[in-house]
Amino acid sequence: MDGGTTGADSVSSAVELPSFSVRQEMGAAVDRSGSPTSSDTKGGFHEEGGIWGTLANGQDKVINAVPGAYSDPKVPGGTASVATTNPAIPAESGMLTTVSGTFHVHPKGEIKETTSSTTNSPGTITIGGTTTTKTFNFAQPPSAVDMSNAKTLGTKYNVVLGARDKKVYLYNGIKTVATFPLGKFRTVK
Amino acid sequence: MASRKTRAVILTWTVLVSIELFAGQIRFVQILKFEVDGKQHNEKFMIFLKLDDKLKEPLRFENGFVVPEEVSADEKFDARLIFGKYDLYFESIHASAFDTNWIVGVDEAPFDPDNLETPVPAGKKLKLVYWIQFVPRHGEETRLVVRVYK
Repeated sequence: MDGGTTGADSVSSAVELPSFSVRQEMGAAVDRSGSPTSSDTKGGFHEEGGIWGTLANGQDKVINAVPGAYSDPKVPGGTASVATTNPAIPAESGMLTTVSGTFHVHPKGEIKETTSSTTNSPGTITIGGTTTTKTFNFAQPPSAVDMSNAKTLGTKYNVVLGARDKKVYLYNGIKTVATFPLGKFRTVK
Repeated sequence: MASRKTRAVILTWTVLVSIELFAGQIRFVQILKFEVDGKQHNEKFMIFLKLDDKLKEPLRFENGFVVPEEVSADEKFDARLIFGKYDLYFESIHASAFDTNWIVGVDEAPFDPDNLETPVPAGKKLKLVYWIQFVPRHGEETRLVVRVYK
């Protein structure tokens, strides 16, 4: 069979990253998630996020949401969340004529504790002379709840930015469709 | 006198009716999967919870367990999970974890790069990483990760 070219528009599985300007805004949300807020006084223990899409003039636009509240990773099922459609600037509500997707940051905060040292801990397959540490943190990939929300939204894909593992996850209501290193996500043009 | 079979049927029916009546008060934890080095394992498991300073086995069902009444809000509990060759001990699990479902994972050498981010204590070597990922009905998932060094 002759070789040839296939247009990107004919490949249904092609995933196109958001525009550079949109990715810059998403990257800034990662920075904000790691910075203190009124409830997260150290930074790294709250979510940031928002939605992106296009204005009536076709220009890309990110609408950042009100930051999520402080969440303690030692308390599962807690308060780690952000209402991505609740704009931080109320005047921006309803500005988008097309919503491309939602994005949010999974925080990088961790709480580490050394639980035992040189003890015969009853929970490990090693015996004696061990040091055991435990770490409480936030899972970085999209959660089951994220996937469920994506299914409801029906957008082509949404974005989770892992602040700790420095990965960007593009996901829909079924699965993660692509991952990308956070550093390159912010810089590639 | 009722036969043994009849008595068994009556007992089963009574238990089911009791569970139905009190279903609103019973809390369950489902263990969604066990992962070893990223691969799912479907082995049988045992779980023990440290209650009143003793490890006790909660009422079990195939892929989970019934949360004992002693697990009340704002306290922390230890859990011991045994599956395959693994005997995993988790300290200080917050009571709210018993309102989530769990994914249990183990990583052995060669370790997943994501598990090598934490600096290894001086003079120690990482032997094993294991965790519970807590999957809530609402909100984000959190993890309790235990690293064992020798």
